[in-house]
Amino acid sequence: MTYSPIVPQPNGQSPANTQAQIQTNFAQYALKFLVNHSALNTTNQGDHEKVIFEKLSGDPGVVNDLVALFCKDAISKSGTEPQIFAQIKKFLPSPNDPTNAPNIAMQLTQSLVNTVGPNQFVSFLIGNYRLYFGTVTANGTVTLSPAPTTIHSVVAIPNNITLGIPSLVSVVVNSSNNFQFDIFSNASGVFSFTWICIATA
Amino acid sequence: MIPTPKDNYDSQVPNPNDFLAVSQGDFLSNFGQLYNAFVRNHIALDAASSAGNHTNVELVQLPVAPHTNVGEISLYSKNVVDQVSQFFLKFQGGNVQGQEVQMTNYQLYFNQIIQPGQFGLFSMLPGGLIIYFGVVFASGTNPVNTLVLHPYITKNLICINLCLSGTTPGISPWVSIVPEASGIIKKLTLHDALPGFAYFYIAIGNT
Repeated sequence: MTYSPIVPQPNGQSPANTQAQIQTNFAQYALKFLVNHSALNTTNQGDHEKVIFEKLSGDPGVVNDLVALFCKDAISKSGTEPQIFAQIKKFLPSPNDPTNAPNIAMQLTQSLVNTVGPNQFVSFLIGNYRLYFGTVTANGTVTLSPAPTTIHSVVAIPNNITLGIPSLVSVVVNSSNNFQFDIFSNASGVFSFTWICIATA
Repeated sequence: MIPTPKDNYDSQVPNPNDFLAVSQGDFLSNFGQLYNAFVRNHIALDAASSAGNHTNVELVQLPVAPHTNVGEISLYSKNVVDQVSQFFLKFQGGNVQGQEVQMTNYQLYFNQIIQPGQFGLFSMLPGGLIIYFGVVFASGTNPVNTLVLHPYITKNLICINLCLSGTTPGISPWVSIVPEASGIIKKLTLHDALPGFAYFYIAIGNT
């Protein structure tokens, strides 16, 4: 039997007539409660041990002073998959920001990172942005992997401290997942640049 | 006598000397209240599958960070000045409470065209930080060589890097903050920018 919120019925029905269902209700409540929480009658009862989100089709909507965390599909160049979002109460426009922006949900997570490199690393920013970064040692191109949808900014910084001579760099974005560095210096040798790129996933 | 079912959950029923039938209404009310309370944020107790999982998690605004014991991490919401409730995380602490980290900041929206000569977006970093990024054009379409940090919420500019866009390597401009009476940093002036060139930028500020 499943949990039933409509027992025992009124009109004089004795709970004794629904004893089995009442017992089921107590059991089912405890069972469903411990799916994501510490079980009843344990030291940490009521705490969350995990939070498993079922995928929603849209934003839940927030009108009160709270933050809603939830899961829905997010679209990226890599495909469509569920991610965690946060939605806050609408508060714009404000005295410093006249934009009448809606409180659209903000994507908190992505499922792709690269923390082992060696030449290119990937993390992410809130809002479906990817943060790529790495080093280059000469003129050349960088192809981002996994490929993003759109590159918004690429900044390269000379890293040639050992040479002691300033060098110059510029960047050209060739496509949605590729950019090139052009380097100039009066010094000879191998030039090293660190770079960082922000793109829509 | 059969009591009238209550509107609220009652943890004090049945009373020791009641016949069960006397508490019929209380049982009914309590089972209904448990069901209705649980279904907020969770798959319903009587669902065919996934009962107990979360549909979402609504974190009601707290006045202060919750006490967080060793072995625990707290997720919660708390008001941020000049904004609304934002999402926070607090690590395990014990007697000396652990670090509180603001996870979300402001409200993301996606108006790329900030002003003539600048395409910009922003995001956020844990700790109440905001990160601005995009492309700013020097002179031509942006005659005053101004880089706007929109939205206007940065109180301290922590860092900014610019990089020339194009195939001719060159120096990057240096910047100065345009003073504002409010103390909010809204605009930066680009100095020694090459006329007609564009610069990628990434800036981080705190709010």
